[in-house]
Amino acid sequence: MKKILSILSISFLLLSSCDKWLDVTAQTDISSDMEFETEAGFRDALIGVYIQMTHKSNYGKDKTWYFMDLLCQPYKSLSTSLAPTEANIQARNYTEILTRNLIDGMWKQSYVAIANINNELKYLELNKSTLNSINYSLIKGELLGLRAFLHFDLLRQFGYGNLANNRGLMDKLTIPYVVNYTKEYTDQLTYTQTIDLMLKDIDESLVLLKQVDPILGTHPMSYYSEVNVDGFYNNRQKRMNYYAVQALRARVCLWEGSSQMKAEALTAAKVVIDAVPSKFSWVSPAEVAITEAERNLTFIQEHIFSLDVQMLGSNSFATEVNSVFNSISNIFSAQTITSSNAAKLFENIASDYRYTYVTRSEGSNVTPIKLYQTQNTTKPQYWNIVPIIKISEMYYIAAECDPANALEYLNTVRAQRGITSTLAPGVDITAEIEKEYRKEFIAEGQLFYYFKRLGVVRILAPVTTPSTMNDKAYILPYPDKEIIYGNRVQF
Amino acid sequence: MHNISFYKRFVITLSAIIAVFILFPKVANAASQDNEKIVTISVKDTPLKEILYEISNQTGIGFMYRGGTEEIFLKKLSLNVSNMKVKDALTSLLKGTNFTYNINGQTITIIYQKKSVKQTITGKVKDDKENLLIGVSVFVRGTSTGTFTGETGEFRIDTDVENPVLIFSYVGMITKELLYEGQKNMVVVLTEAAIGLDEVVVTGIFTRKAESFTGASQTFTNKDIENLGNQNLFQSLKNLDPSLNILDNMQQGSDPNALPSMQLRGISTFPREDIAANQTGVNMPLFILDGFEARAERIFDMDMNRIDKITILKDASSKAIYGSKASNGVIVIETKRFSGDKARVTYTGNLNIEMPDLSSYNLTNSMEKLQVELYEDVYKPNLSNNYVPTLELYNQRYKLALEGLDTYWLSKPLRVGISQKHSVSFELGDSKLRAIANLSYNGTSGVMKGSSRSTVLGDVAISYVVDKVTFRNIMSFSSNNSADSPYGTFDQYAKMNPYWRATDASGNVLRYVEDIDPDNLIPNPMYNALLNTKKTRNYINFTNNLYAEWKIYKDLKLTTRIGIDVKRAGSDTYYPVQHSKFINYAEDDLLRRGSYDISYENSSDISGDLNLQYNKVSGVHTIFANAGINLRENKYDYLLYKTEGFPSDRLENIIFARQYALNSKPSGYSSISREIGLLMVAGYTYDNRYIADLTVRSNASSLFGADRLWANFWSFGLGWNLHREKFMSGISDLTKLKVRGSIGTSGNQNFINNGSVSYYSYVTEKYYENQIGVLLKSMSNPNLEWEKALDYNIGVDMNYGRLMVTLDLYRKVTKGLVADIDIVPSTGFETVKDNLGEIQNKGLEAKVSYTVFKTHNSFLNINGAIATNNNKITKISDQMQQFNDRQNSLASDPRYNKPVLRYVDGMPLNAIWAVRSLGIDPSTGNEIYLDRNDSPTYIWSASDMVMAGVGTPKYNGIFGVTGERNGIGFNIVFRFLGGGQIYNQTLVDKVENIDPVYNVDKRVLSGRWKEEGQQALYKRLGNVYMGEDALQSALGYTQGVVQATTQSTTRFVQDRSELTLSSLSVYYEFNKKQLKKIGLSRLRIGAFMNEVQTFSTIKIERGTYYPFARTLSLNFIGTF
Repeated sequence: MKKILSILSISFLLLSSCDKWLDVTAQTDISSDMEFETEAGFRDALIGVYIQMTHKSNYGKDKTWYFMDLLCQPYKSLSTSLAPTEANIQARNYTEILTRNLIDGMWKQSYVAIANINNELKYLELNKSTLNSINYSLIKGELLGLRAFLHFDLLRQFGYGNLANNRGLMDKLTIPYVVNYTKEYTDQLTYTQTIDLMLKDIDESLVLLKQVDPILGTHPMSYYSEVNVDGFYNNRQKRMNYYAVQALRARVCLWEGSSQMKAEALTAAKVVIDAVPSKFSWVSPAEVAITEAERNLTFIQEHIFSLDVQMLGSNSFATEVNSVFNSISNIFSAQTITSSNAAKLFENIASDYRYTYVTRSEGSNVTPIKLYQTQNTTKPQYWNIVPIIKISEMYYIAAECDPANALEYLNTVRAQRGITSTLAPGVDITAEIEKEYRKEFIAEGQLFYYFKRLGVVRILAPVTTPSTMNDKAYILPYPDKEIIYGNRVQF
Repeated sequence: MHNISFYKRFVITLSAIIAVFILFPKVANAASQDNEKIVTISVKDTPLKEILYEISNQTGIGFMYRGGTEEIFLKKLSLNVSNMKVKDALTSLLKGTNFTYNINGQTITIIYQKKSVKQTITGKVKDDKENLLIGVSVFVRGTSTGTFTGETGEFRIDTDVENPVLIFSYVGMITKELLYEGQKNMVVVLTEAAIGLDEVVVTGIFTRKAESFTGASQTFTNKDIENLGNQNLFQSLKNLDPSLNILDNMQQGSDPNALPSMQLRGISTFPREDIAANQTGVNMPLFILDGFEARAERIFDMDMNRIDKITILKDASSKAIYGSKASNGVIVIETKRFSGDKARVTYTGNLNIEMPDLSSYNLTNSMEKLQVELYEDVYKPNLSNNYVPTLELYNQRYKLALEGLDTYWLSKPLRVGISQKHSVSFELGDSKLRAIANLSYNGTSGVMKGSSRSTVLGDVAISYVVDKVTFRNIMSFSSNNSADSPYGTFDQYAKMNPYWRATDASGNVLRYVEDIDPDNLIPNPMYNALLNTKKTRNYINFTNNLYAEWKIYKDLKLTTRIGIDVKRAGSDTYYPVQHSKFINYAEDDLLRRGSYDISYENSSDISGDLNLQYNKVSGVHTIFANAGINLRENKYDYLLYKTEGFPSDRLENIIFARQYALNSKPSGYSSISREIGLLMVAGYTYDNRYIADLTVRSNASSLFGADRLWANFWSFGLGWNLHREKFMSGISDLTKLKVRGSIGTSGNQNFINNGSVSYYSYVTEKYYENQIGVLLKSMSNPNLEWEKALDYNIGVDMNYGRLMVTLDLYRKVTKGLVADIDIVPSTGFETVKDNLGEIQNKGLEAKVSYTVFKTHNSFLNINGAIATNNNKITKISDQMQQFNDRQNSLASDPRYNKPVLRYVDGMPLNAIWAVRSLGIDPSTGNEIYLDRNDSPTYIWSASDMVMAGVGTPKYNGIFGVTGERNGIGFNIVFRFLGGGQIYNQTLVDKVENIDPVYNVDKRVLSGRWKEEGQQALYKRLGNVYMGEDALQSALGYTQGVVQATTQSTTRFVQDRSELTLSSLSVYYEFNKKQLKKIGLSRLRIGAFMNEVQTFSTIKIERGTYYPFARTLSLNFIGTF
C-alpha cells in the first residue's frame, strides 16, 4: 500500500506542475502571454507597429508617395495600356480591380497595425506591474497617438471631406474606430463620435507624453538611462512623439472644421510652432545647395514625425522609389511633371529649394526627387526616410485658422524655402495656402486631403486641365468584405 | 491461498441444501436410531454421492453436505461392507479422504475438509514448434489462483489444492487442462487453434482479454500479413480490413516514395482550403508502435518481418484511451518478442519485380494524332505564325509518320524495377536475459527509372527478468535514402507526341524532340535525366523504447514506458544549368540558371507513461482496472535554403551557388508541443457473461490555449457473452456469441493548431531604426473548441463451428469541425478559425470466415469482409456559405474544368457538384444542360449545379481463399469497391479540353461530334467561337475562337465499381522433421503477385505522375 501511495503522490506532484510545463511555444511562435512577460516584449511589439506602418500599403508607399500622391499631383497622364494601375489611380477609378486591390490593402494593413496596437494596449494594463513607469507612459502614449493617427487617415481616405460646410454629415456613420483585438466587428459610429474618440486617445496620449517624452527635454538624459535600452528612445522624430501628437491634434481639429475646433487646431499647431527652432529647425541652404548625392532632400530636421522605411515587400525602399521617380529609366509609369507645368507650379521661382533642388530636370520633364535614394552617398542619415508630418504644415494650419497672422506664417515658410519675395497684405490667403500645399507636399500624399477637406471641386490633376471632384472621387470605397461581413454603411 | 468468496460459498451451501431436500425427501421420517441401521454395499470407484444415495436407499437416512463444491462429492471411492452399521461403514468409506461425517440428530452431515497441501508448481509452456510462449495464462481450476508465463515461457504457481488441474490458455491456442501429480518442471505444449485468433486485444497501453472487452477492434497476426505481400504494411493492410480505406493515389500511383493516405470509417474533417486537393492527411489514424506513437513514415519503412500483431481500434471503447488523438482510429503494432529458448538465426529474403501497368492509357499514334491536329486547326495561321511554315510543319510531320515514326513515349522513363529485401535476426539468451538482434535491408526500385527507396534497419530487443520486475528494451536505428526519378513526372511523357523522336538513329537521347521549326524547339524530357538532376531525401531515425513491469502484488502491476525518438532528415534538389526548366530564361537571367535546394529537418520525441493495472478474478467477478499518466514532448525544426546560379552542371554542390533564389532567404519552421494525459479504465465482467467497460481520459496539450488546456474524453461499453448462457448450451458448435455496444468521445488533434491563442512572430526582413519588432500572426479565437467525435458502435461476434462472423454497425458524429471563416478586415485579419459544423459517418462492417476443412496437415479457409460508409454533413454554419460562394465563383471561371468542393447540409462532404447534362446536341455538337428549372439550355451556370455523385465508394470489401496441404499453401485476395462516383478527368483533359499541341486520348477521334446528326458522347471537335459574355475579363481578352472548356457536368460523373485481384500467393513450408536432419528448424519459400489486375467500370488514366505497378515477389524464410 505504501508503494501505491508513493506512486500516487509522485503522480500528483507531476500534475501540479504540469500547467507550467505545458506552457511552451516554438521559437518561431510566441503567444501574446509570453510576448508581454517582459519589457523587451512591449518594446518589440511597439516597434512591430512602426514596421507595419512602413508596409507598402501603408506609409511606406501607397499612403504617401504613390497612391495618395498620384490622386491629385499634376503628374503626366499615364497610359492605360502601359501603366494601367497608375492610370486608373490618376483617373480615380476606384472600382477597377487593380486600384481596388490597392485600396483594400491600405484599409487592411492599417487595421493590422491597429490590431497590434490594441493587443499591446490590453497587455499594457494587464502587466502594468512588470513595466517601468517611464516605459509605461511612453509606450502607452505612443500607442494611443498611433491609434488615433491611423484611424484619422482612414477617416480622411474613406470618409467624407468638407465637414466644415456640411455639418449634417457629422451624424452619418463613418469608419469603425477599433479599440479591441477581437474577431468580432466594431460598430460604426458617427463622425462626431469617432472624432471624439480620436481626440480622447490624442488627449490621453498627450497627458502621458507630456510627463516623460524625452523630446521635451523636461528630464536629463540620465533619467532615461534605465529604459533607454539600445537607444530605444533616442530618435524621437521617427516615433509618435509629443509634438507629433500635437500636430495630429491640429490636423484632426482642422478636419472637423467647426470654428471652435479650428481654434483648437491653432492652439495645437502653435505648440509645435513654438518648438521651432529649439526642437525642430529649418533646413539650411548649405544642406540643399550641394551635390544631389549629399542633399538633404526631405529636410529631415523639419520632420515632426517620419518613418524609417527599409523594405517594401521583397524590394528595398530605394529600388521601389528610384524606379518611380525616374522618367529616364522608367518611361511608362514614372511620376513626373512636364517642365512647363512644373514652372507654373513653382511660379518660376528658381530660388525655391523645392523647385531647384528637390526636383530633377530629365529632358522635357521635371521629376520630384524628394525621396530619391542616391547611391554612394556620404550622408546615410538622409536614407530611407518618409516624412509624415512636417513643421511647415503647422504653419499652414496656423495660417488657415488665424487669418490675422496668416501672412506672417506663410512668409516664414516661404523664406525658409528660399523664396525671397514676401506676400503682402491683400493677397488671396486661401490661394496662397493652396499653392504652398501643392509645392510642399509633392510625393507626400497630403495634397489630396487638403482638397478634400475644403471640398475643392476643380483641381489641376493629373494634368493642368482642371478635373471635377465630387464625393465619388474623394471617398475611397470600403473593401467589399468589410461591407458584407460588417454590414457597413459608407454613403 | 484458496479463495472462495463468501458469496460463492453461500451459493454452494444453499444449493447443497436444496439438493438434499429434493434427493432425500424421507429425511423428515428418520428415526432417532438411524445411525444404528445397517448397510450392505459393494462398489468400486463410484462417486461418493451415489454411494451415499445407496446408503440412503437402504436405510432411509438423509445426508447433508457441507464444504466444498458439488463436484467434490463426486469423488470416486470404493467400499465393500456387509451388514455393517452406517456409522462404521462411513468411517471405513471416508478413511483417508478429506471427508468426515457428523451425526446430528436425524441427519448425517458429510463434511469436506481441505487438507493444507501447500505446493509450488513450476514449468514451461511451448507451442508445437518448440517456441516458448510468453503471457500464457495458467490457472488452477476451481480457484482464482493464476499467473502468466514470463519472458522465458516459464511459470510458477503456488496452490494448496491437492492434485490441482491447471488450465493453460493462450491467444490462438487450444486451451489445455492438465492434472498436476507432482511432476517436476512440467513442460506443456499448446497447439494452435483452428480459428479464433482474436482472443486478446492489444491496445498499446494494456492487453485485454477479447472475451471481456466491449470494443470493436480487429487483430491480425504476422501470419495474416506474411501471406499477403512484402512491400510495406499499408499495402498489406489494404487487403486485410476494408474499414481501413487506403486510398489509391491516382496521381502518385506506385511511387515507392509516396506515403499512402488512409481513413478509417470515413472522412471526418473539412479539408483545408489550401490543401483541398489533398484532404486525407488530416484523416490519418494514429499509429502506435510497441506502445509509442509513431509517424506513418516509420511504419511505412519498417521491416514487416518484425511485426507480430496489428490491432485496429475502431470504436469508442477501444480507442478512447488515446483521447484527443483517436478520432480517426488507432492502429496498434506490436513487434515480435522472444519465441524460443534456443539461440537461433532466421534469414528472410525477398526479391520483388515491379512491372509498370499502363493499361489505363489509351493514347493516339502518330497518324491519329496528326488527324486530331487538323481538326483542331493547329496548322491554321494566326497572328503570330504564318500559314506556309505551319503547313510545312504538318507536311514534315506527316512524312515522318508515314516513314513509320511512332515513338512510344510512355515506356521511355520506365523499367522493370528489381527490389531486394534481406533480413537476419538472431535470438539468444537464457531464462533471465534474452535478446533479439535484427538487421534488415530493403532496397526498392520503382518502375520509373532512378526512383528508389532504400532502408537499412537495425534493432536490438533485450529483455531481463529479475524477481518481480521485467525489463524490455527495444533500440532501433534506421537509415533511409530515397530518390525521385530524374526523368521527372510521368505526365510529361504521356503528353509527348508520337511523331516526335526521343533518340537519334544510334540511340542517343536528343535534346530536342523536333527541330523542324528552329524558333520552336521542343525539349526532350528525357534529356533532363541525362544531366545530374537530383531529387533525393534521406533520414536517420533512432528510437529507444524501454518497458518495465513490476508485479507489486499478485493482481496488481505497475508498468512504465519511456520512449525516445530522434530523427534527422534532409533533402537535396538539384537542377543543372541545362535543365529544360531554365530554357525560357531571358538574357538578364542567364546567370540564374541552375538551382539547388537543400532542406534539413530535425525532430525529437520523448514520451513516457506510467500505468497501474489491477486484474482480479474472484469467483464469478472479473475486475480490470488501469490508472495511468502519460507525458510527451515533441520538437520539430525545418530549414530550407533555395539557391540558384550554377554556371556548369558539374558544380553539383550547393556551395557553388551564385546566390539565394530570387526573392528568397533561408526559411523554416519550428515547433514544440507538450502534452499530458490521465487515464482511468475500468472493466467488470460477471461470470464471463456480462461485461461493462468504462474509460475516462483527460488530455492537456500545449497546442491549446490556457483556457482550454484540458479536454476530457470518455467511453462506455457493454457486452454480453450469449454463448456462456445456459440456454445456449444446447448449441454445441457455438463457441462464441457476443453482443457488444459502446459509446464515447475522442478528439481530432491533427487539425487545430494555434487557432485559439494569439501569436506573435519576429519580423526578420526589416528593422525599424535598428530595433527589432514583432507582429501578430493571426486573429485568435478564444472560443475555438477541439473537433470531437462521438462514436456509437454495436457489434456481434460469433464463432459457430468453423464459421466466424463479426458484424459492426457504427455511427460517428464529428462535432465542431474547424475551418477558416472570413471576418471583417477592420479586425486586422481576414480569416479566423472557427467551429463550423458537424459530419456524420455511419456504416456497417462485416467479416466472415469459414474453414471448409482442417486436418493436421491441411486446411482451406474462405473469408470475406465488407465495409460501408455513408458520409453526411449534418450541421453547417451559415459562414460556410462564404466558402461555397467562393467555390461557385471558381467553378464559374470559364477556364476551370473540374468540379469544386461545396458543403451543404445533408449532403456528403465529398459530393461531386455538376450541372445536369442532357448530352451532346446532335445538330450542333454542343452540350445541352438542364437548368434548375428543368429546362434545357446551352449555358452553363454554377447555380444549376446539383449533387451528382459522391467521391468515395459507398462500400468496399475483400474476399479471398487460403489453404494449405502438406506444407504447400496458397492465398488469393480480391478487393472490390462500388457505390461511389468519380469525375472522369481523363475524358475532360484528354478528350474534350485537349491541348492539341500534345498527345491526347484515342477517343478524341472516335467519340467526339464531327458532323450534324451524329450521336456523340463528347463535344464537337475543333474550336468554337466563344462570345464576349463568357470570355470577358476572365480570359483577359474580349472574344475569340477557342476551345470551349468543359465545366463540371454530370456527363463525366461516372459510377465507379472496381474489382481488383490484389494478391496472389503460393508458398511451401518444408517438413520440420526432415529439416531437423539438415540442422534447420524452419524453411519456407513463397511467391506473390500484388495488384495483378483491376477491372473497373470506368476508363480513367491512373497514376498520372507516376504509373501503377504490378508486383511479383519471391520470398524465402529460413531458421537455423
